[in-house]
Amino acid sequence: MASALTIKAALRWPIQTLFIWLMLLSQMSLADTAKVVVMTSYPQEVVSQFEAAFEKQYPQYKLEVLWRQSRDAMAYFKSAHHPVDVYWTPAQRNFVQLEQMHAFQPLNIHLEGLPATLNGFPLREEYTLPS
Amino acid sequence: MSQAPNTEGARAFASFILSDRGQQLLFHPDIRKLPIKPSVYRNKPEGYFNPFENNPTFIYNGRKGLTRQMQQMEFYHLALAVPQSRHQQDPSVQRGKFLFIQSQCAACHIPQVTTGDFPQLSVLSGKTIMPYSDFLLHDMGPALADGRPDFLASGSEWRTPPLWGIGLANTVDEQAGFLHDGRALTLLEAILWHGGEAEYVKQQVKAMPAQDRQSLIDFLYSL
Ligand code: HEC
Repeated sequence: MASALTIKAALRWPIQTLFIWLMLLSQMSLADTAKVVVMTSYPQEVVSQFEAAFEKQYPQYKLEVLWRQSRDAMAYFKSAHHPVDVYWTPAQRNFVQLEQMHAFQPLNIHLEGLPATLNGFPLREEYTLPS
Repeated sequence: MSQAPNTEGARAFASFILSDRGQQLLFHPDIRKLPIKPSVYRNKPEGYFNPFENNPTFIYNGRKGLTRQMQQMEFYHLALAVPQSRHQQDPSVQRGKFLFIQSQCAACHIPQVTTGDFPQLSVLSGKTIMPYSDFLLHDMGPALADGRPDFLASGSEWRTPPLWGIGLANTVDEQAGFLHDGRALTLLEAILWHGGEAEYVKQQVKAMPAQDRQSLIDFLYSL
């Protein structure tokens, strides 16, 4: 009995530290997968394909999708809500409005292989071009 | 976005969307959109449209935009005629027309409307047309609701679709389905999905003698 107790007491300290270590580790791995907040009007079938493929290629990120139709998206941006990382939508008019509101920052990504126009139709804003 | 809490993540996501891998996903049968990266079309599925191949139909004018083509397309649609109704002398069709009005289908599917002023195409002004619609929103009950509010429509409201030409829907497309998502394979099925504000009319159709129900359908096919 007495020896069992001492063994238990002797183990308590290492077990406690192990426990603390495990907690720290799990928190570190949580902090490792940072979330990327994407606002979109694309339907579920589109978003889920991209979400799965993106998270597979960038395991350090977790996508958080805010689904908003174009009108509701503008209302969201105009009121002071939680900020969004990416706005992903075909709603061209929203982009014009948001640009006037200075809601964007330059993307600075590689654009090789991506033409600027299609049959004269601009496919991107000039200011996103790397200078 | 300028306030982005995770700029690196935003960049990663945008890069991914524009990458070969991301662009290729657009070919997926559930998505079927057009990639903006010409090289990706090398692996396009059989018969997939490639807008980068010489295709002069829509040349975009930086100043005027698509306006000219849009105007032409709008004019074309405005000038399209509605199919003539058929078999109006058939006794079953006439009985069906009577039932359509008697059982209050016509409360929403209003048979006759007169158009207002339309200066762009004056032949369309003050014209009496037979669209069988009030062009208004109605709460159609939980079975038709998609729970997605859109502009002024709640998640269970739908606009009354015009019924003119509906009798030829299956001539144009054998697989044509009815209602907003094409779920109803027959006109009777479309009626039986009616709920909410139209619940009472559906109950009337259900209570009809089989012959009358057939006449109602014959009438819809004559439109
Ligand atoms: C309260 C208004 C209302 C009444 C009454 C009503 N309908 Fe409808 N009807 C609608 C609406 C709204 C839709 C579209 C619903 C949808 O798309 O989900 C519709 C759809 C339909 C469709 C499918 C049309 C298409 O293009 O897909 C048919 C056919 C139809 N109604 C026939 C009838 C008949 C026959 C009656 C009478 C028995 C009737 N309706 C009564 C509002 C009404």
